[in-house]
Amino acid sequence: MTLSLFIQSLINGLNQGAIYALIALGYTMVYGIIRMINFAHGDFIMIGSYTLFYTIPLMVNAGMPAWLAVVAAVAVCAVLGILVETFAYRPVRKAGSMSALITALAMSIFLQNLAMVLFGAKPHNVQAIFSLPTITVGGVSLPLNVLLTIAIGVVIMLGMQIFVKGTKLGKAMRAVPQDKDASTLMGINVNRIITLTFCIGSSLAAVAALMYCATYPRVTTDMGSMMGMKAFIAAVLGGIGIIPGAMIGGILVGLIEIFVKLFAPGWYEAVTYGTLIVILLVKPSGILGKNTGEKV
Amino acid sequence: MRKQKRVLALTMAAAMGISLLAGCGSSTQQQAGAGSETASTTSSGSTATAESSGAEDNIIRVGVVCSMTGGSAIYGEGAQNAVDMAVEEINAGDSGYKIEIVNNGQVADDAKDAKQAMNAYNLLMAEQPEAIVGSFFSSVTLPMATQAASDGMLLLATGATNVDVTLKGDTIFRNCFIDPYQGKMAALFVKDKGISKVAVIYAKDDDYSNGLKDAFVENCEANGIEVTYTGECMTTDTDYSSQAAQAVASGAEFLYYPCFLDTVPLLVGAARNAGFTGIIMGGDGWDGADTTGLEDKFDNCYFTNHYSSEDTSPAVVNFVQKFTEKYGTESLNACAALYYDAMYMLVQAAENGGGTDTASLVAGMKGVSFSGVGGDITLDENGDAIKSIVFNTYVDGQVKWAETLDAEGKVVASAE
Repeated sequence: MTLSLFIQSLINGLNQGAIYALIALGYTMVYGIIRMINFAHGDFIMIGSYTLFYTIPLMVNAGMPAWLAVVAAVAVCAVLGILVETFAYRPVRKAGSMSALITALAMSIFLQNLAMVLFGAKPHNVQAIFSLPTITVGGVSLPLNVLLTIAIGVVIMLGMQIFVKGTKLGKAMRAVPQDKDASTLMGINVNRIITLTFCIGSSLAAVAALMYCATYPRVTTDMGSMMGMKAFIAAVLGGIGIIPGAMIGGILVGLIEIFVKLFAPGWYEAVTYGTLIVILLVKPSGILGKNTGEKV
Repeated sequence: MRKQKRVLALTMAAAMGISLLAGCGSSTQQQAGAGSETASTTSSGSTATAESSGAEDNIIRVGVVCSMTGGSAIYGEGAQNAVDMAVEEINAGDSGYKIEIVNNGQVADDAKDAKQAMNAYNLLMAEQPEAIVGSFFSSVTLPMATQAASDGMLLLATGATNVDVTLKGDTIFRNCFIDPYQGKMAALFVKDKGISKVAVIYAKDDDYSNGLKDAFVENCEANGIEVTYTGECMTTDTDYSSQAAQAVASGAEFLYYPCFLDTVPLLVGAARNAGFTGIIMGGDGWDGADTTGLEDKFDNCYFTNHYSSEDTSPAVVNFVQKFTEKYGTESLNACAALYYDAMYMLVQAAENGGGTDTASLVAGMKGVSFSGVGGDITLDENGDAIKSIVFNTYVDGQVKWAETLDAEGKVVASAE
C-alpha cells in the first residue's frame, strides 16, 4: 500500500465516520435521557433527507444557498419526533423497555412504508448542497466536505455537552433517567422533558441528513435501516448515552470499514459487527462508558 | 305404482345424463368462445379431447413478474406501462390471438429479491397462466427458472442476462443477450480504445454482477489487457470511496462497474471525487440511472444495452413515440422495451406452435426468429437470444446512443 493510498483511506474513513458520528449523536442523546433505543432514528434521517430533496430546488430557485433547506428539514424532523413520541412511545412507556423497543421497531417499518406511499419507491438524487472544492495534494484528494462534516459534528457534540451539563433544562434531562418519580417531586415535568429530548434528537437527525446527502447524494425509502444500524453500533461502541462516545464510536466504525475494504472487501461488515461483539465482551459499557454497578 | 316409480327413475336418470352432457358441452363452448361447434360436439364424446381443446381459446394467459418496489422500481413501472401498451395493441390487432394478463392485469412484484420472486411466481401460478414473463434481474429469475422448469411452465425471461437462466430447462427462454456476450463486447470496446489497464468493481452478492465481471475479466485477459484492480461491493452499499481510491491508485485508465442503476450515481460520484478521469462503463443495468446533479461527472461514461431509444429503425421509433405519448419518457427504459417485445414474441410463438397452451407456445418458441424493438432476435438451442448490442454514452447527463454492434462485433449503425 502506498502512502498516498493510506492517507486517502484515512480521509475517506474520517468522512464516513463523521457521518456515522452525527447519526450516533441522535441515538445516544435519546438513550442517555430516557434509556430507550429509538430504532426509528435512521428513518427520521430518511424523512429529513426527503425533505431536503424536495426543498433544495425551492431554495435554489429563490436564490438562497441550498444548505438553508436544513431549516425546513429540522422543522419537519422535530415535529415528526414530537408526534412519534406523543402518539407511539408515550402510551407504552409504562409497559417497560421491551414494549418500547418493539414499538420503535414497528415505528421504523411504519415510517419506511409511509415514505414509500408518500414519495414512491424510486430512489432520487439530491442536488449538490455545498459547492466546496476538493484539494488535491500528491495524488491525495481531500474534499472540504469532510472537514465541514467533522466540524459540524464537533460543534454539535460540544453544544450538547454544554446544554446537558450546564443548563437547568439539561440538569432536568439528566435527572429524569435517574429517578422519574423523584424528578416529578422536584418539579420537573417528565413528559415535557422527554418530548424535548425527542425534539432535539430528531433535529439532529435532520442535520445528519444534510451531511449524509452532501456526501452520498441519494435518497431511498430504506436508507434509514442500514445507516441506523451502523450508527447504533457506533453509539454502543463509544458508550451509549455518552455524547463524546458517539463521536469516537462513529469515527472508529468509519475508519474500520474503509481500512477493511482495502484488504478484505467482502468482510467489512463482519469486522464491524465483530468489533462490537469484542467491545461488548471486554468492556460492556463501551469505550467511554463507566462501569456503574446496579443499584440494589 | 311400482311401474310408475321405475319410469320416473329412468326419466330422472336420462335427464341427469343429458344435463351432464349439456353442461359439459356448454362449458367448453364458453371457454372456446363463439364458432367452435366442432369442439363442443367432440367434447360430449370424449372428455380427454374436451379438456385439451377446451383450452384453445386463442387467448394467451400471461403472468408477468418485475420489480415494482425497491431501488429498481423504475424498471417495474416501465414494464407495467409497456405490457399494458402491448396488450392493448395486440388485442385490438388482427393477429387472431389475444393476451390476457393474469393477476388482474397487474405485474407481480419480485422486489428484486429471490424470495419475493418465488412468492410472485406462486401467486401467478395459482391463476394457471399459459406463460410467465420475467423477470428483469438474473438473481430473481434463477430460482423462478428452476421452479418453472420442474413445473413445465414457459418462462420468458426479459432482462436476466446470467448464462445459467436458460440452462435450467427446456421451457425457459429469454429475449435478451447473455452476460458472456455483454462482457466480451465491453472488453472489445476497451481494446478498440487502446487502453491497457482496467479496474473492475462488482457487487459480490449479485449473480448478474458476478457473471458480467467474470466475462469481462476473462475477455480482457484474452486480449492482453491488464486488470489492475478488482474491487468488491454489496448491492446495499452507499460508500464507494475506498474502492474508488484503490482503483485510482492501481493506475487503471478504465473502470468497469457491472451493477444496477440505483448505485451507479454513487459510484460515478465517488470515482470522480477520487480523481478518476478515465472511462467508466457498465452493462444494461445502468439503463435509467439518475444523473441529476452529477451531469459533469457522467461525462466519459458508457454502458451496453439491449436497445437505444434513439435508434432509427421503424420498430423503435414507433415504440418510443407511442410510449412517450402515453407515459412520458421517465420509465422509457430497456426493461420496458423487453417486456413489450416479450408480449409480441408470445403471439408469434402461438402462431408458430399453432395454439395458446403452454406446450404449443414452447414448441413455437424454439428457434423463433423475431424482429422487435430490441432488434432482430434469433433464439439459439439453449433459448438464448442472438442479437445486436447497443453502446450508449452521456452528454450533459442525458443518455446518447453511440453505436450498435451486431453479434459478431461489427458496427451496424453509429451516431457519428
